[in-house]
Amino acid sequence: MQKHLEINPMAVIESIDVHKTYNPETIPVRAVDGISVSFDAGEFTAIVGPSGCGKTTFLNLIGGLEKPTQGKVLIDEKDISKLSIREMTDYRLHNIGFVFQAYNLIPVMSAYENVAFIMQLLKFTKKDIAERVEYLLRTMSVWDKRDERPNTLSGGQQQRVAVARALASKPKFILADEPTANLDSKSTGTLLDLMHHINETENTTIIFSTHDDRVMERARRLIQLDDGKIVKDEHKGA
Amino acid sequence: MIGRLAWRNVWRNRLRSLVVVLAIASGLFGTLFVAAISRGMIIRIVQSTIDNDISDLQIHSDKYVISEELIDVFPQSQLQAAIDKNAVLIDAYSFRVKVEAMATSANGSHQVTLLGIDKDAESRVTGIHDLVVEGTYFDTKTKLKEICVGRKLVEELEVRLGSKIVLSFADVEGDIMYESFKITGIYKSSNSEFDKINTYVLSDDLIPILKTGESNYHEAAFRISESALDQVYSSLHEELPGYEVMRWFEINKTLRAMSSMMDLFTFVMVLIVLIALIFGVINTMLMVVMERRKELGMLRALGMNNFSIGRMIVLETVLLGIIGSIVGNVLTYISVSWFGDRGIKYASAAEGLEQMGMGDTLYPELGAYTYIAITLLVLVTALIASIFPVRRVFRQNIAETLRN
Repeated sequence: MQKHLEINPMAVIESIDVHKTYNPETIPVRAVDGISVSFDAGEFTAIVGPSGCGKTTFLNLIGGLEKPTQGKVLIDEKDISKLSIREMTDYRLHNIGFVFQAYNLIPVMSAYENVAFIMQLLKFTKKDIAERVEYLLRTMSVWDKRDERPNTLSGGQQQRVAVARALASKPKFILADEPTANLDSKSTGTLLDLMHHINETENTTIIFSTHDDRVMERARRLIQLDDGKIVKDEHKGA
Repeated sequence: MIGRLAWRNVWRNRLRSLVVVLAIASGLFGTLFVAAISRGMIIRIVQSTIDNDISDLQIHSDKYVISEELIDVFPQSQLQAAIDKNAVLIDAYSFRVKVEAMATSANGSHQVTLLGIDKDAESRVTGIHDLVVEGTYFDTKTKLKEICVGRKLVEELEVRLGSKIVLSFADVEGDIMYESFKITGIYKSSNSEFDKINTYVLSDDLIPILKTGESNYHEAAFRISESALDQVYSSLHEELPGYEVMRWFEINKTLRAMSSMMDLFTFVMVLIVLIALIFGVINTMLMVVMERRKELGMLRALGMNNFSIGRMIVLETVLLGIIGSIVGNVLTYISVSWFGDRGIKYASAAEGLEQMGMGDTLYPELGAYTYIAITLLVLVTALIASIFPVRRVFRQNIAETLRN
């Protein structure tokens, strides 16, 4: 693979020769080994590869949850690896939506409150919160479950609430770490339809890490990783 | 939002939260109830001493305070103008003559303090008339000189109501006088030592024997409300040069020291219990944040900053503390009110308690400020206890917590 060492002015997210090594002093583990890649606005991308190939670590790096050992992660041409913890937290809040494999909803809050929570952190008005949360929960087909707590929802319903939460702040992009791993095929299909819809209507960049063939089929771009390196970067229909 | 989230988090594991709340509540209740009993004992000693003996304020001549010589009397008229000036603030007052005497019966003798009083004035100042358990308070028509003595002295001298006792004492000229008095009243206070020492006769009977002169006294005792005490003290102090004006805690310095010591004792006890509780709360909250590390990592990943996360954990800890202190305070309040009205009979130690002036019944008592102070202390404790779990959360790597 040819490394993208030049900054791509069209890119929303760009990683330039990014490395992440765990335990560098003792037994070094190279989770990400010099990845250079850029993502344009509105992309629907799947990062695929075997377990331990560095998918989650790469998502964490571009999501600002970890700092690279070497290289740069640019978001809107800004190097987020140089931000302080506080600035990074604020950056995530305003720009990134996360969807996790295990849903990770707040168990003591209802579906409605889970989605509204992020908007409250961003100090949206009550009216804006009410309108946006209703729109998202209706779009995700869980409006009728709005008052229920996560433990009373099915896995598919929980994941749809989690996607609604990720979209609540109108982020520039969503990072979804194996979001369909715990879902049956019907729920996976519904979730992918909804995420496609959001991707098209809100032009939100969505990046998945996945093993799931159904996700790979629906993605417009596939990036395959192995041993922390990109081994294939395919734009479907390109 | 943070407050609501913290409140719900507290009740996520009801049993664990209830255990912490009960630990705080029972710790506080135990400590405060013991403190209330001790405080009640001290207050009873102080109150009975003021009510039956020293009153709120006393005036003596300067010289009498130093030497307690019989001759150092003052004429009532010299004080009257100053008293009248403060009449609105003074509830009652009484003039007394005072002499150390030896009381003797056919069966024994005992040293006593003989107080010559005006029956009506003294009734308004001390509560001895209410403590008379046999006979009357100078209300018989006997031609003999009457004396009112304590139950304990009666037992010591092996006499009874109606018996005659001889009192011997020196007059102003130093001559030893012997005078026979008829016991017409026997009183019993909560302090058996007081009962053994203090005996009362009418000043009209005693003054001629002492030869101190008509309307000349050694002591003026006053009842003044707590709110007016300092004002009256200042006024009398200014108006009466050459006189020693003293408030109750200046007359009996031990009383105030006992009160202060009890407050300190309560504070130290509560502090020890709270320090013990801190470790319990820290342990619980560490467990809480360890159990929720993935959720807390998720919140941080989504953009909840450390300040908000910290605030939430601190609030959870403080809420546990507040609930615990409310339960503890309510339990204490109910118990103290119940036993404060009815008392706790302590028959096995009755004699010892009476010697100390506490009577045979303990009446727990706790000031409102104690409840407030304790609640504030618990809040501070909870704040300190929350530091450790908050630090633990901040040290966790977000990506690692999500991976786990």
